[in-house]
Amino acid sequence: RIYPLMRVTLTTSDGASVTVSRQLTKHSGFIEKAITDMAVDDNAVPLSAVAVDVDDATLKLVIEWLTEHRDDALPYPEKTDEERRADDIPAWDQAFVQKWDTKEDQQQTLYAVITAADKLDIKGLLDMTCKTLANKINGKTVEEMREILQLECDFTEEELAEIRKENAWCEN
Amino acid sequence: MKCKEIADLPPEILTLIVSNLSLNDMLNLRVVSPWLNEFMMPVIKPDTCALTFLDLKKLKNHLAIIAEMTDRATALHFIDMLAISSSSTKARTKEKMKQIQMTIPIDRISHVDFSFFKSARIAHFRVAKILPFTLTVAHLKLLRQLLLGCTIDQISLFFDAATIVQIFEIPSLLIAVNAKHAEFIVQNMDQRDLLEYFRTHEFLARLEATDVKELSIGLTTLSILGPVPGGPIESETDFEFIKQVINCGITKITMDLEGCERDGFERFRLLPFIRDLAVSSRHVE
Repeated sequence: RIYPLMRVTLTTSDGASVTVSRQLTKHSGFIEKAITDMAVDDNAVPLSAVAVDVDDATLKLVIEWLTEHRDDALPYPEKTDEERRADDIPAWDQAFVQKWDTKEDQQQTLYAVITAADKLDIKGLLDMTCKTLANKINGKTVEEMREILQLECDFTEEELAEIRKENAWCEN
Repeated sequence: MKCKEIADLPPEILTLIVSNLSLNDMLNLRVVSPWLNEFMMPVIKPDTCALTFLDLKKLKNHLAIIAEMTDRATALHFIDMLAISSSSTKARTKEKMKQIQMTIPIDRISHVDFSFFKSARIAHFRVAKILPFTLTVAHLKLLRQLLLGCTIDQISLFFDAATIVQIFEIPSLLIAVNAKHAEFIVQNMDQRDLLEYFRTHEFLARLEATDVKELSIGLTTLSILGPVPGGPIESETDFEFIKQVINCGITKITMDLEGCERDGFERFRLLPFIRDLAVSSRHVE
């Protein structure tokens, strides 16, 4: 596959190769560092391939997000705990993530993109996907949280009672 | 390896995700599964227990504590105490403050190395005026043990005729809790002579070794019942005492010696005295 302004070839964990523009990869701290470590002229064509520990399907989603956000300002603005809010996800990003809801493994897709954003050091994508998962949990009951996170309740009744008693100390 | 479930996410990413949640959501996550409970506890519980005040009372066979905090999650620092406390414990939220009241049987803690917290920052530790924890030798030893690991900005202690001799042991307690403001109150107003203990060279020398910068001494409860306006200075001895305290490194003194408003208070002597202090270039209030 070829993306506009071919500059960097990425090889995925499952053996695929993808060539993308430096305009996109500049948002990835991992890829930019790999290119810097190659110590090659920025204009050299082609660059040696950069191996990324992300599978082909997930990398496609990452590149789709990067293409939409190619003109975002860098560096990504750091926010304090007070400034951070989960309800400021841009409309395009919300639609981008909602597309996965039709997939059977939508939760795994979200985890895969979160992990890829972390490995590739793409702060904007990591921030957005973490907020997306937080928003799914936000305000839900314990049972709903278990269902969303696909986790079993492995507590004994006594353990549950103990934790609920401890939590009561902090609740309003 | 493909991430198949939330448990596969790196801990720092999980921390990032849950940092977007409210405290109630984080508490609910504890109940979801054992590994999430284990993960969430250190995320929710602040490293240090930060209290706006901690009051200590002595009941017949119990200690009663009242603690107030701004961060509700701080209440998790009291969980270990729940195991030893008696049934009369309660937590309530008043406006933005969380308050916890707890009674602890003394016989359960006096023979073990029990301390209130592993690490705490207390803005004001107060021995209550009503039902005070009197500072006998045994109680002072217990107080040191209870406050182990605490940093206290202001500490308020009561003394009476039986416990005033313990004043010489207090500076080492002030050092242990890194106190910046010490407030010493004599229990009964008719025991003015007990104030002489604060004027002794032995006490002042020990006070100098502490980090205390603010000292309050009085015959009433001072800031506990509200600050007394003005600095009542009654006699030449008081003027001399203030000078001695300032030489110990104290920069703010509050004295309530029950004499400010009476007739004959020699205000004309106060101004020259303050001017005299000012030329020493110290910040004295």
